[in-house]
Amino acid sequence: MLIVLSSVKDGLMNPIRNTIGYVLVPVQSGVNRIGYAIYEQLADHRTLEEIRKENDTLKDKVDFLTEENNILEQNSAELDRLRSLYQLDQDYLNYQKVGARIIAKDSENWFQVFRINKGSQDGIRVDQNVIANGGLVGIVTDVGLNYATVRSIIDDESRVSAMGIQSSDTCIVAGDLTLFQEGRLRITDMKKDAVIQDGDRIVTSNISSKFVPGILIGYAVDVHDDEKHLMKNGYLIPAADFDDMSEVLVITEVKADSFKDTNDGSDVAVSDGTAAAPAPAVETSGEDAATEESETTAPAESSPAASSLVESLSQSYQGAQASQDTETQGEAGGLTPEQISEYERNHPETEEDTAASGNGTASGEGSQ
Amino acid sequence: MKKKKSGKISFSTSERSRKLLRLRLRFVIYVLSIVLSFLIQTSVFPLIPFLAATPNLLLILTFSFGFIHGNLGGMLYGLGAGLLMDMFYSGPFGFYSLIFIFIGYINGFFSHYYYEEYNTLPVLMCVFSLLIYHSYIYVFRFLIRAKFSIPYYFIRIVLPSVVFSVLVTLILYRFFFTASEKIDS
Repeated sequence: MLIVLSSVKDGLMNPIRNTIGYVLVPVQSGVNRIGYAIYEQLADHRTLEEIRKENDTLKDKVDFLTEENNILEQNSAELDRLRSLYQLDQDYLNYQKVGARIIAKDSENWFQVFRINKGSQDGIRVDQNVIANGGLVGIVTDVGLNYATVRSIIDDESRVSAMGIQSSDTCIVAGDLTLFQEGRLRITDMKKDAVIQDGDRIVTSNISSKFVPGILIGYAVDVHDDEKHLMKNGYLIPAADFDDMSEVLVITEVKADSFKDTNDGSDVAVSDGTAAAPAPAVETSGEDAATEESETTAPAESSPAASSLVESLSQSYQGAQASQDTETQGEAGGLTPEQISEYERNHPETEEDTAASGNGTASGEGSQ
Repeated sequence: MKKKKSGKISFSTSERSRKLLRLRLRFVIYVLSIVLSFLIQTSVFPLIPFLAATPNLLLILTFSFGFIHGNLGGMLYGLGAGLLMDMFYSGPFGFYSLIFIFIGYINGFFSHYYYEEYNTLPVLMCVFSLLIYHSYIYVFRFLIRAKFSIPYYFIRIVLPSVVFSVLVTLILYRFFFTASEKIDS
């Protein structure tokens, strides 16, 4: 009964949840802090050699990054110019964020859900996006007074609307339990002609209803056509490190709010006007196309037995003359094999074409 | 709230000779054991990096309790543990309560075959309970979304969980047994 009640009405259990959370979360934080302190002590005992080796690799990385930084500086100047050109100077590049510590994780491997030590009293709300190490981590699904539950994007139930940063082709980034131990996610629902390639940066899409646009999710790998060759699928390596995560940032903007802000009265009126203007034109052209189509298909519907003949004929007589002829015949009440053979005699230049579909003609005559 | 009320009634009916103070003490100890194991399970185990799977302490305590104290005790303990799990995770409220109550109840049937030195049955019950628990999660959270890779789930999730839980059961069962003996006396 509780299951049904809480499924129907979402906030029914919130008072009880808050009470429990109020008591337990401080304890959870405390236990977590003690455990974390012990773990850090252990981590300090790593051998010196390991650190030296790391130092070498880091030095290499510094060289590489300095070079990359130079290139990026050049690019950023270009980017600024282009951005002002396209008036894309949106504020999503500097979202307001709140830092939070992970205090508990799901003990089972079924779900990739964790709890953070900030709640509604810190401004956390449902559907806020969570990031860490420069990549998208998840979304807030549940908020109490002093805690919030976050479902990470590697959870099996997670679906994120995403796009390639180069091409703006949209796709869906889906968590998959069978893939997450390899550190991968699934990319699905990509259009066949999308130009997303291996190594492309995948960011949250601007058409998503829950994720604010432009957050890096990860990098596409192994993009390929699906079995039916209708869509493209692929895999994604997330930018955030999910194994070694203790602190996250919560973006305090909710995507749903941005819809409310932009869709005030004046905007709607304008968009309605612009949408209404081109609509009639489309409709008329659609009608034209429809009438044309009905004219050409009319003979085919006239007699089911001769429909195969008409098909082969309409292939051979592509001209306007021929279509008019068949139309009159169709109106007269169906095609007879005699008429068609007469037709073929009158138009000797198309004999080769009809000979190709001779089987159809023969069977048509047989049935008649 | 619910747990508190029904717990008192059950204990007073099953063991009328006990004093109210003792009952309260016992009740407090059981509640503490649930809370403590929940905290360890959610906040300490995930920090240990070499654990492929974390033993489900709440489930182990629930079926041990059912095994020692019978159907009703197991159900009440399962209700407490399940409610705590439901508080923690979003989703339909009562999802975990249901399965924990069920596991406590089922294991209560085996309390007749319970001996102090006999270790095989608890281990078998542990495996059995975990299989029920995992198939419950699989069916209601994965199968209904048309996820069919059962072999993968079994090897990667169910098996490690069962192995770790059996190991913990072997240690914890003795402890839990002596603890509940001491509380009773």
